[in-house]
Amino acid sequence: MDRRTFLKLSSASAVLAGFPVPGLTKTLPKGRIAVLFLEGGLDGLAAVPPIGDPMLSRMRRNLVASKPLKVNPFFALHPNLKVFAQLLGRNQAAVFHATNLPYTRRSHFEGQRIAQTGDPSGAETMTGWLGRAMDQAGIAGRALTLDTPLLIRGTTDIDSFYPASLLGSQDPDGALLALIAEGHDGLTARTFAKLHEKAMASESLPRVRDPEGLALATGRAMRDPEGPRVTMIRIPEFDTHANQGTDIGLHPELIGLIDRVIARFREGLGPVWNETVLLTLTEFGRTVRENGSAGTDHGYGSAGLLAGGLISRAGVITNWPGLAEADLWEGRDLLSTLDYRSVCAACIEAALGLDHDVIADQVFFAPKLRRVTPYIFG
Amino acid sequence: MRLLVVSLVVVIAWFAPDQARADVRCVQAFLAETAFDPGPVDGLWGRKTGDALTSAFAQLDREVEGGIGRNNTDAVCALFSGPEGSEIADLLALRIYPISLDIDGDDLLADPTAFDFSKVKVAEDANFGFCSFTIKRYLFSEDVTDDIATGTLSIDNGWVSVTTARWRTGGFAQPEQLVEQTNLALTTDGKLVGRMIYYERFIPEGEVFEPPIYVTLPARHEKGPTYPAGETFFHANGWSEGSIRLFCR
Repeated sequence: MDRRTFLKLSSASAVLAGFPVPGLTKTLPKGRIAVLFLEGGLDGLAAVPPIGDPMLSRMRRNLVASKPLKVNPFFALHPNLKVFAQLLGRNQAAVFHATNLPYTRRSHFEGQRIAQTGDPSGAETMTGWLGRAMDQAGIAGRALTLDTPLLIRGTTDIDSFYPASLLGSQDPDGALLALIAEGHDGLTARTFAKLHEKAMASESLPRVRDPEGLALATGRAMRDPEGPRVTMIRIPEFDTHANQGTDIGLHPELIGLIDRVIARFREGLGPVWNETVLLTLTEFGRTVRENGSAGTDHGYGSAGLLAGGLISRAGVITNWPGLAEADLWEGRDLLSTLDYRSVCAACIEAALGLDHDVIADQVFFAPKLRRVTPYIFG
Repeated sequence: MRLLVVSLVVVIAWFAPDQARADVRCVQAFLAETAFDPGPVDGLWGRKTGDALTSAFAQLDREVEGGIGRNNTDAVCALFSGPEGSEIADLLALRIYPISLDIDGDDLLADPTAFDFSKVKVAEDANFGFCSFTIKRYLFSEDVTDDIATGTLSIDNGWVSVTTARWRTGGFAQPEQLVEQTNLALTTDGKLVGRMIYYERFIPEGEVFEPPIYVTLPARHEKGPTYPAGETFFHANGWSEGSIRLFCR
């Protein structure tokens, strides 16, 4: 399968949110925050192999890349993370390892829902953690997709405008789009005017599914001083139960795609990269051992990749649990020793300027959530 | 009396190593709750305990009077059990494995239009307020030429500034990209030299959008001069090449 066919088949998507709205947005946070949602479960041990752990080669004979990029004596990166490696070298990236949301039931549906709501209690939370963060920061969450992803759903009423044509809505409401465009200034007005134009001009809108292109376009939109503060880019297909691949194959290709998406996003942002943090989010890691079909199954702990100019100290940060049989969660998964919501909270704190206690309490409903901000920011 | 002295000596002799062991145990117990593994919490000083303590203090970036060796565990224990203990525990909950990278190869984070003009003779006397340009694509497989973009530019002391642009490729191409991401100069022998953004494909409706590529001018097989009107070629990919045609007044 060549790259273009691969990309045509993929159903990646991006959503922009947090446009400043006249009359509603008071003081704008300076920073930008981007979530790269890796659907299906990122194999943290393939992306960031702990080469210094003697159990790695024993537990995984085939799933560690043959020429990993060594970032220190204990950890390496998959060789497809070349741009990310250079960002680490410039103190503009960091990795949190052996981490995930406190969710251990290994279901995609439930896991993806909890990754977005940030509420592992199982309650029917109808808002997403990033949406609640935008509520707290006083920026209106308005999404440019048909169906606002759960992650950025907030409680502000204005959320109910879903103009919805960028990703192929068949029936965009032209009158509503024109009305919104008229009621606003700057980029918001231009964006909705453009959507209106497209809705009127063409029945079949272009389907933008190339994640690299999406990242570039998203970065360019967020570069505008009046542009959106928040984005989420989805990359699906990480669920590699069979023929996962080591140096080449689907999972390595997707890891390379993460790298290119980060590069394109940075390119689109230009100087605004310095005020931005991007973090990956995934529903769970994958099993430590390879399964019978040269793949891995649903696991628990994974790795989170962070990049952006807001980061001031690079490193691989973890309370490493070890890979020996006795160290694994239920004898099969990498243990998560850090609630990934702490990492999300640190990014919100750095980009949107909220206090950790407010984020812990109001965004994640977890007042005792550990603060990890000093490990990488300022 | 003698009996008392003897007993005291015996008590002290017992107490001292016991206390030392308790201090080591105190340090180990504290570290065991952090990301720094001291080995078993047994009060016995070993290499693992020493290593964990050294790495922990390196991360904390602080010192203890008398050092953090096995002979000063009482001071370290006092620090860990003191008022700063919980703050220190927070800072050691995770271990930072610092980055020590040897990167060879290309700098992937460099500006894609960066170009070294030090070996280029820029035509500093060339000033044109208005030039129109066309970026063209030539396919290798068949005799087909396409217009990729058109626009206007000015040349100030040999340096090119794109003023307006219109891409014909569709997809992600936007006029300001050509304005911002063109880094070209006119040389004394009449060539355009430098790096610029380029779209290699036309994106029909419903097709997957393609990110841009970046090209270097001129291509090595460059023939005639471009100045004041002419064509500079560049390599694009395995199946086509491109050019810029300039018309200056």
